[in-house]
Amino acid sequence: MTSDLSSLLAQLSSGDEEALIALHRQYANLVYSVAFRVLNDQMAAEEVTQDTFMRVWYKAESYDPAKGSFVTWLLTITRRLAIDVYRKQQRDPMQNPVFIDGDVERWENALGHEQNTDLRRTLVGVMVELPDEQRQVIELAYFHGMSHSQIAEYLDQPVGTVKTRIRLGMQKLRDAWLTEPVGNPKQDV
Amino acid sequence: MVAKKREELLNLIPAYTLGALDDDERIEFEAWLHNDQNAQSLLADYQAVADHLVALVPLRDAPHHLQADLRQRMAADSSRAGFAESAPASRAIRKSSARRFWWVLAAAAVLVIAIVGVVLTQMESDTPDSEPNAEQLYTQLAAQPDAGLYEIVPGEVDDAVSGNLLVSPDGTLAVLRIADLPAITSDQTFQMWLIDEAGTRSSGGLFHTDPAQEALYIAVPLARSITAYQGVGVSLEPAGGSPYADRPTGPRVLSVPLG
Repeated sequence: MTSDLSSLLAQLSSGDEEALIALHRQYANLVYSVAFRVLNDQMAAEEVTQDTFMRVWYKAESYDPAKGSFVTWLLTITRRLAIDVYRKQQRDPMQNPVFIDGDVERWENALGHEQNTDLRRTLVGVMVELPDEQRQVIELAYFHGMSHSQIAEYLDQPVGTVKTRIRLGMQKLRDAWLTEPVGNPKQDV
Repeated sequence: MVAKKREELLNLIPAYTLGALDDDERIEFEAWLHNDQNAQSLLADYQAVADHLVALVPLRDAPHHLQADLRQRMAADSSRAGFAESAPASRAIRKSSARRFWWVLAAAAVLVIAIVGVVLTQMESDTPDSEPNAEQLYTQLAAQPDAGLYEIVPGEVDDAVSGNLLVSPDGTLAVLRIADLPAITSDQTFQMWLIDEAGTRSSGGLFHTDPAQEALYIAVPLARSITAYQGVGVSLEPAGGSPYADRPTGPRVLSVPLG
């Protein structure tokens, strides 16, 4: 965690509203992007973005650096809030099928020096090369909160087939992750 | 556990990190994972990959008005909660006052502990190990084939609430696992209720959520065996909980019928 971020979180805990605004300035694009990816709806994504930062405002103390980076924590909150909204809206996940952002540099700029560029580039490359059916089930689980059986029902496929697709797709991503020579990947994102 | 079974569970690790396991699968998986070091290491790898998947999302620019909206919302939240009662700053102030109180209390406690320690030493008391936390207890219960499993029924607050109640085979221990609880403001709290056979309610305590945790684990404070209760519930209450000891004042968040 950078000293700037540590300082902002400390300020946040003491009730400094400007610290939250500074975090918003730094991470709003990421949060909004994730919310939009799940919901494919500008208004709903805006609402989730604001809800995410309000949670940070009230729950900053529950962030534990030992468990992962701040960005991971922040975007986990975002994704879960967005999935909650998604479930209530009962949208069709295939309304928003685009998954991967090939523009790695934009993410680099948004995340700053805390992140590992090569690793993200590798994951993007592997995701692009995954068979469509493997990428699809990973997407349905991760961005729409669907379980094995829900995905199977949605795709009209046997549960065993869904399990195999998820496993094979994730194995390829993990293999890429482990072979990428990075300093400390778990400090990323 | 037989080798084949272990292999099946190992194969579920990638799906677990994506949140794709169905409830029954997840319970069995978590119970097994708890005692398998190699699986925990493998899980860490997959979890790191899953954490990064979010960074593959196409980047968009958030609308500029969101920053001003956020300021307005903070102001509105503060005034609704009553003169910044909800802000982190006031929490810090309250903590400072509370800290003084706790120092006094701690000093008194040290005295009591010293006295009790002497007595216990003399009695050669067989003190048990520290009790596991609720999540650990849940995992332990999940590993017991005769444990009771009761599904959560969402209430009127949010129909996305899900989870279950696991009860030890002898009915003396129970842990609630709750997922997808709705967001609440700082002037609200969740309150657990136990409903006995006569329909009498008693508070099981107050709790909040950790937004980054997928699920919340709460040990249910059973005064009697689970068979003495007809249900467990959770209501949404003002901060500090219901003013009544025997009934909720807010809407039902969930219920767990035990009948």
